[in-house]
Amino acid sequence: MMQAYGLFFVLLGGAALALISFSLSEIGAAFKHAAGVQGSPAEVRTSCLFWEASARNFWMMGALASVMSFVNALNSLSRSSGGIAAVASGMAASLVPSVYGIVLGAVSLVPEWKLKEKLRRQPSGVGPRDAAASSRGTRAFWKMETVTGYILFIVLMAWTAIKPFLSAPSLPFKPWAWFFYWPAVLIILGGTLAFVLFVGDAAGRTPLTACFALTALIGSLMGVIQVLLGFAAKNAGNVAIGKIAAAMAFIISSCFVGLAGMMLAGAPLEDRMVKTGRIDRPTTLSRVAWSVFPLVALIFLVITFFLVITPVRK
Amino acid sequence: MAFSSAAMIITGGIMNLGGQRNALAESLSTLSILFSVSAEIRGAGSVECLAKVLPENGSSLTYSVQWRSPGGTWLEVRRANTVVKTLDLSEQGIKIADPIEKTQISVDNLGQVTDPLFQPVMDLLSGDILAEKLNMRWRLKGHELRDEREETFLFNNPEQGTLVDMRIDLNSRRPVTMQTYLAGPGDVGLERRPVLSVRFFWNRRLKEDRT
Repeated sequence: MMQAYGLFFVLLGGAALALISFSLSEIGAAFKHAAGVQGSPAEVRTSCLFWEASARNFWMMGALASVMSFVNALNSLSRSSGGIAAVASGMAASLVPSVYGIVLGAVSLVPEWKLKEKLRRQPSGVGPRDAAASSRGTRAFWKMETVTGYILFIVLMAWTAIKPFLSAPSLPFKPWAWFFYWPAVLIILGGTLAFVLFVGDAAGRTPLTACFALTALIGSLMGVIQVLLGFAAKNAGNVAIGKIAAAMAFIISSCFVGLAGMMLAGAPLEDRMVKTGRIDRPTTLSRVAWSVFPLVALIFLVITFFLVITPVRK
Repeated sequence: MAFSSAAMIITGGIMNLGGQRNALAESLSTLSILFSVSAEIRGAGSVECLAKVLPENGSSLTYSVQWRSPGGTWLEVRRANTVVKTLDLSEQGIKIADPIEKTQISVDNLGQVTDPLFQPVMDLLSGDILAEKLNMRWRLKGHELRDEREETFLFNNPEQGTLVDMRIDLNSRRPVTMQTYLAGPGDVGLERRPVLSVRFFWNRRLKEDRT
């Protein structure tokens, strides 16, 4: 059941993110071009961008679904009928949605490769960048599809966070307390803002995706250091456990905020920059960020899982 | 903007260094402790559990459950300081003796032990049984930190309709005491009637026994 919801989450989230960045006509054209219908170089180029963005979105949605599923498994500790063993199973199974994300991402990359090849073989008429540049200023960011996409995405996230509380009315209704560890949220948001400010005039070309990924990575590494210090400390039992647990919550929350920031702010802005011709293609830094950071987040989840289930004795 | 950014980073850093914990951290901490406790119980070498059944009427029964080796347990049931029943659990089987009537019977598995005298401590017959209950059967209802070294966990045991209150030493991750209550309506503390009180005496771990 949980796996089915994971697939639903990744699919619907991917669709919501596509709506944020692309209009319905662009999405329709991308499917037509993937099916073999001819189009102008500019249109095919937008379709290429759509399929690359879809691959990115599905992959990141898979990682985000895994993080949320991991947190929800921990949230089930006081209502799990199978005891702590069932909670551990839930934590392990939380990695399944990321597999959905990888598969859907790979499927999305196939039309992108085919369209890129087609674009390469086409006789050069109007250059893709010129075509995009000619439409500069005609694309408003806040379209109906964009608003719908954001609403859909936020509703999906909120429902996933709230769902466990509806099935257990005895739990205090505080879903945000499970996903937002405020020190992590403040440091990631503040760090991203600082990155953008440091870059200054070049900010227009700065991939916000990479800024979120870098600060979330720094935050997660800070958490890892705190975990190690917690293990090394000579404190009494509860103090040491508390420090380690807080550090693990810091890591998970950093990954959650980083992924959400990349998807809600970084990726749509960069897609728009490409579509309006401000940049040729998504930057290498951005591509590295969305390819690598979700994987890093999954590795951190696995490490947290082992830290929790491995017996520790001071 | 620069000020906001710096303020957010500094506030986040201070909150983090202040040791603020949210629900997620609490859950991670609790789960980590319970897995360690379960592993300690499972790997226990020689442990003595002294249990006392607290009846509503009549005289109380005391139990001495000794986990001597993996799969080997010696249980004595006493009434008014007199041993009334013993149970010897080993890899060869289970022997139940009555020292007063001088009788002895053998059974193959714990499912055949139906004597009501033994029922209150069936979960304590070995580390594996107790760890299995803790891992897969009991539902965590809550926990309370007594001090920096001890924490009390409250479980619901749906099989027996009881609440189990286990006090854990956070340094060794071993249970110190265990109280069992009949779950009253709404599980309100004042309505709980204690039925079993257990104290654990840990000697050595299994690995140390083998060396």
